[in-house]
Amino acid sequence: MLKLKHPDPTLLPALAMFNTGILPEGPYMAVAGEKDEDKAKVFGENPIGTGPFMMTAWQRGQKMTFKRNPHYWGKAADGQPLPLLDEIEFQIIPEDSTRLLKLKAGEVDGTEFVPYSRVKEMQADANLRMELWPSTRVTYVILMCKDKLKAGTDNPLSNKKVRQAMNYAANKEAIIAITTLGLGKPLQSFMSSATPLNIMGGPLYPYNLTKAKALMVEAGFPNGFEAAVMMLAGNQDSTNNLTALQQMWGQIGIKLKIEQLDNPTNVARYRAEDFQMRHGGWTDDIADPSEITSYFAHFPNVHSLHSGWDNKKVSELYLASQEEVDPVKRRAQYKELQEIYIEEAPILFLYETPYPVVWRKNVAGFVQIPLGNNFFERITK
Amino acid sequence: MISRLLQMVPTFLLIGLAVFVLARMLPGNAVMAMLGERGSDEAVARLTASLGLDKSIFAQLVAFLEGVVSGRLGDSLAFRIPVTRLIADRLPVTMMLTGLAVIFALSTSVPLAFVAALNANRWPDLLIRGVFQVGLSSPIFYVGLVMLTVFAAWLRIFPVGGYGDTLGEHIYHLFLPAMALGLSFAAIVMRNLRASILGVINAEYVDFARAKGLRSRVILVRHVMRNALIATVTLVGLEIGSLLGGAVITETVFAVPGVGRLMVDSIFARDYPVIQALTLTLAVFVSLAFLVTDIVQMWLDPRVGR
Repeated sequence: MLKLKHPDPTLLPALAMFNTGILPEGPYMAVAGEKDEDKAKVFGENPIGTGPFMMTAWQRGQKMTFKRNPHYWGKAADGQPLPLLDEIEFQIIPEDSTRLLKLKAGEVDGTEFVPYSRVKEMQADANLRMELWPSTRVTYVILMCKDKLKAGTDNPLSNKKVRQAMNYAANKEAIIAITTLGLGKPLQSFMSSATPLNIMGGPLYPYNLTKAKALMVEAGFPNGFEAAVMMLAGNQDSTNNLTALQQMWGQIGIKLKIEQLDNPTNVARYRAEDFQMRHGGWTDDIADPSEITSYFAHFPNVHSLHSGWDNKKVSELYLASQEEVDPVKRRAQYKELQEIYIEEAPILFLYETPYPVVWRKNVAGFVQIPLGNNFFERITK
Repeated sequence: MISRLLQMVPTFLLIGLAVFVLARMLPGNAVMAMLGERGSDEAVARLTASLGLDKSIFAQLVAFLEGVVSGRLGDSLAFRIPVTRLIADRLPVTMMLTGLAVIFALSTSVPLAFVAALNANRWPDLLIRGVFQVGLSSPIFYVGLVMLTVFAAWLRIFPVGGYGDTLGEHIYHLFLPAMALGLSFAAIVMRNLRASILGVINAEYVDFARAKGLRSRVILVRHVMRNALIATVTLVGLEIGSLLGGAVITETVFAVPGVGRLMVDSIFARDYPVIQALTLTLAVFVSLAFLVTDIVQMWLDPRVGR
């Protein structure tokens, strides 16, 4: 029995999330440990859940093996009990080239995280089947909206016209062609086209250098300025995007400095709001727009991706939408909220991309949903 | 010998202290790496306290040193299992990989160094030196990928990375990575040994042995090889550390679950207990390699021990 303080339209999608699995209370409470955290640690060594497979071995950072759960409730369309595989092994192979060679040699049956540059090659291989699953993954650059940067210097990006100019000066189609080799689509909102209640009004800020230059003049920066962007070190997609932007923004006088940082440093500076721009990516965890909106647009949560962008009307709409159970009214709230966000441009809108997963031809039945969750119970081999 | 062993204790303490300080000088921490950008401030504070990272650096250092002395190295922050279990799981893999690389390197470089030296500046010498020069100048990452593509993906003679489950499978899986790892090592040993042989072969005591009427084989094994190997043994000992460094890359390319890969992952995850314990463990192994080198040198040249 769940008792809520108010009607909540996000309840059902929240209950369907990956982290709301059902655990058996008796065995969980019986494991050693005083605090819940200690129990979770011990229970996690030999977990019991309700999924299609049961974990049989876990070598940290190397591999996990699962066998069929004979008690699983699911049935295939023909009434056959699921899952259809007896056993499944997940191997962790961080190096892209090695992972794909292993697949080509037939040592593994499938792999995810195929680099965009290898998708065409996989598509051309007669032994493989390349799948591109619709996703909620969006790529963008956060633009700091505060008047001053952490170091105390003035921040030209606090001017909306500058942010709009940067959006117009970025040729998204070219960036999509360079980085995703045409696999991406330009963003039509801050959320993906697979996120519910997304407005689909066409690509945002179509490339227009003349307009971009005019906006820079209006904003009082006819000669541009120097700016810095931080990215995760070694990430090829970020490097491609930012190198292209460096050249594109150069045409409106913005000299872009790219800072490559490792993950903990990148995250620490992001949380400390110690950046001017940050290359970012996002995937929804829930089939509802509330999560991404709370991070991107609702200032009280994380200061709108720590950009400092604070729009009272957007926050009002967001909070109202969290209690609105009429889908038509909620859609209208989200439409208005997204329109304000797009106009204000606290991010550079780049693109959304599918999840590339490749399988040996004899393997079928895999499903990946836009949230990124993988479903293996209908796989046959 | 005992004094050598005793000298190692302060060395390990200094290494432990240095790695403790250096790891904490890196910006960000394990909490940032684990919770990423979406974790709330409350979650960050809770995890920081739960991992003991809210204690002062001094308190953390004391806890670390106590752990080292008592053999309790703590739990991995990222994997949430004892560090000793993690290392015990991964270390044999890297030891086997480096061991096979050494065997591969020595079994090819030593005989070929003799062939090259005895045919100095003739075609066998030029050919051997040319081939090893390629090995010396090719990055392990590239050599590894070429080997995987040719021998594993095309010819299907070897598996594409991994480690297998039985001893036979381990050796089979590690064959290519050991070759990739041992290649530049073999080239260094071959060049060094060839130069030593050329130096020894013209020494007066070799001329004397020849004048005594000893057979060439006896001269080669007893006088030339034994003396030429002294410098090479030193080199092999010194290169063990580089081999362990090379294992980081080899293990990444060949998906070998050893400590090299673990070290890289732990640095990115700011998993301090693993970084510290692994550094100390590898320091022990490198020191032991130096010790073995000294012993072999004493056997080859008794003057060293005096």
